[in-house]
Amino acid sequence: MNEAYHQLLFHYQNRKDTAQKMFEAGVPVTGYTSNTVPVELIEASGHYACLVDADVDDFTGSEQYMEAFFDRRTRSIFHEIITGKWSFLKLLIIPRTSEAEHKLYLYLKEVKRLTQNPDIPELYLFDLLHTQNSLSREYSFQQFVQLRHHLGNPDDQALYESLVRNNNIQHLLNNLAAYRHQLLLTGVEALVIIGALYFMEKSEYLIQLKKVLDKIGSRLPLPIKEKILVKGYGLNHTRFHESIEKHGSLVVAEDDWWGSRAGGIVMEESGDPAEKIFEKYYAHAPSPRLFPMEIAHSWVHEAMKNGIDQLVLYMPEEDDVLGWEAPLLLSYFMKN
Amino acid sequence: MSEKQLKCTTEAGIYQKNWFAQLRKDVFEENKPYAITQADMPLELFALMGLPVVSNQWWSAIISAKQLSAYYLERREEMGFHKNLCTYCSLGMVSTLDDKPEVAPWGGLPKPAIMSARLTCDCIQRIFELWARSFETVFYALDSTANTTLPPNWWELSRYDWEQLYQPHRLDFMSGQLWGLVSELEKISGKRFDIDALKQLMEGVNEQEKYFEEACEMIAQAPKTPVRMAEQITNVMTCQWHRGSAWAIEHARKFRDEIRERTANNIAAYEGEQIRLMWVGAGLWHDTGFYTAFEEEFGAVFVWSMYLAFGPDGYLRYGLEDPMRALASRVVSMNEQLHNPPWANEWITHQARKNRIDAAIVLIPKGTRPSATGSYFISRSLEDSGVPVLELWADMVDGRSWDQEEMRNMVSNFIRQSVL
Repeated sequence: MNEAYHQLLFHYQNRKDTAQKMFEAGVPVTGYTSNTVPVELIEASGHYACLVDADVDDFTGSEQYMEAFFDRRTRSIFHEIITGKWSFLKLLIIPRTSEAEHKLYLYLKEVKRLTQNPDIPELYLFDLLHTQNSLSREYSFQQFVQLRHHLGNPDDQALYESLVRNNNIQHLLNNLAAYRHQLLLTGVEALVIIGALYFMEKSEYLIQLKKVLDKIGSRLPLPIKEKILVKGYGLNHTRFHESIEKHGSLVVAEDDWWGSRAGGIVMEESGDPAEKIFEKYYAHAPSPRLFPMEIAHSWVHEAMKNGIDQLVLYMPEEDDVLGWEAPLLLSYFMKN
Repeated sequence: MSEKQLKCTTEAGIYQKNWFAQLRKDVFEENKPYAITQADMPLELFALMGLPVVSNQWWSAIISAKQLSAYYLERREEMGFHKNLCTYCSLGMVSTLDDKPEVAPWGGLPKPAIMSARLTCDCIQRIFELWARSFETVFYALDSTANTTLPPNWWELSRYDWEQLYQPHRLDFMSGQLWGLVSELEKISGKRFDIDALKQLMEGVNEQEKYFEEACEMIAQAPKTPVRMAEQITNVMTCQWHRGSAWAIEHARKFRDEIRERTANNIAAYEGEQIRLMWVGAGLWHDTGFYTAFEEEFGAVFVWSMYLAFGPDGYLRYGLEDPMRALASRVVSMNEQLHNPPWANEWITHQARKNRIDAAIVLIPKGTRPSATGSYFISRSLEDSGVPVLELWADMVDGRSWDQEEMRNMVSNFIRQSVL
């Protein structure tokens, strides 16, 4: 792979690097914890938007607050925040997108109340709902408006520019998705290329993404045994894909915001940019709380039609979400 | 629960068993509609529309008390669900999927006309959706918003200042959802909803909870508890399932009166009471004998669980001009009050002080994680206020991981080392 890939790999592996450099350069850095926070609002407000992610083994310093049955990612983020690894953040936005994130917000807030820990940045709960009905939509839109206000009310022009920038990325990610089905790259490579999106300045990411796609486009298809579709929540590492691909299979898509669904959708560029951005997050972002199941499964049902040989579910030990859907999804896959 | 010291405990048990027998008769023989819901739902609306409700948690407790949880959890794995999924809220669903009336308690649950749940944790929407599919019935979900202002002393604000405490935008949303639920219930029941009747029912619930509040005060102040914790739970929860009804109000009054009488006559639940224990968490439904196991050797009596104390603090609402909004305020944050910081830890510590608690046992159900969160904050807060804590990693319904002897030894050692 070329230099561009190594650039992307560096940022995928060094997730705080850009954020820290931005902070040192005087740019306000706003952290967020998952895909349902509208980064377009943050970017339009002049902040650098950085996904807060961590993978920790030693929880000394935080294990007295957060129980070990929390998922590893949530525990790791909690640990790094209270031990000062993200103290440069001006603001941390946590969406109500999973129960774990709601608890993360409450736990951080409580540690701050009890200990006055100065390393915990200002916390903001973005109460986006995921039931799909008119009441939830209205509530969520008001929450979106409130977040925009909290971020200094960036104007429509700034929102539009951010929308277009993110659309440009999404167009390229769509090309990447097509290349994956043409067997031009491994799932591990794809996760790295996609995941770097969260840890780089967007215009730089766009440049490197273009370069890497040019290179991939000239490859020959990989000889593989079978095409795998992965469904899971929180695939923030490549270990799972590595374990699948070492046996000669190829992961060609993931129903997860760390994989194929990272960029969301291409938003409409005409009309009110705020409404278009809101729509992307309310109606199209994957979330463990998306309801009903028919809507939550619509993407994976479509993906199954693309010549998939196997559906593989990513369910770490602490899973309490996908496990409920597993029999239904596997039965659907077998029937179709 | 073996010994029943209060007459009303026996009456409550009989009432609930007869109620369920009548429900099955009404549903099977007369095709009358009923509902299955989560315990933290606005049961008041179902009562007003003439729809009896079976609470999922109550049904789980029945399954567990009948020692059927191991069977159903094994069946669950055979159905393709992995073993680490939550237990408490899923036993009912599995008993339906299993479809063996000869195994299920009292022949199992018949098909409900509607199922409904607040989407607090991430698993409940899945459990209820799958369950409703297997019954081929409607699932009406209430989405769950999050409080962002969290004054620690919520119980001092919830009766009168609930509008600000639970945040107006959240109450707007929850009220809207409740009106939507009412429309569904009107379709099912064929009855028209009467807002004045809701106001009257809310007043009835207030009356019931005031009796519970008096009972709480007496238990807290009596030199020795006049009523064991397990008996408190039977009485209070049977009333809560039917809250605001004439029977529930009258039963709460009887409960209060029996406690008053026992207190006036210095009758203790256990005469040798030396140590006052607090139980933090859901009831241990598969081994209720655990709660009296430390009396004889240590004089250690469980005097407190959340069930009775949460009645007045969680349910009382004054200012019923808009009864639907007041009802919304009752249900909108139930989960946060009982399981999340800062509300759970602050309230439980306040209750420990008020009840002169000597030691607390905190249940951390690994198999029911949404109920287990916030546990360390609770333990820490209790310990900071001078109450020794034993954390028990066990499940309220899954008896498979419960070694009775080992657990009793653990508590005995804790009492010897940290309390005596």
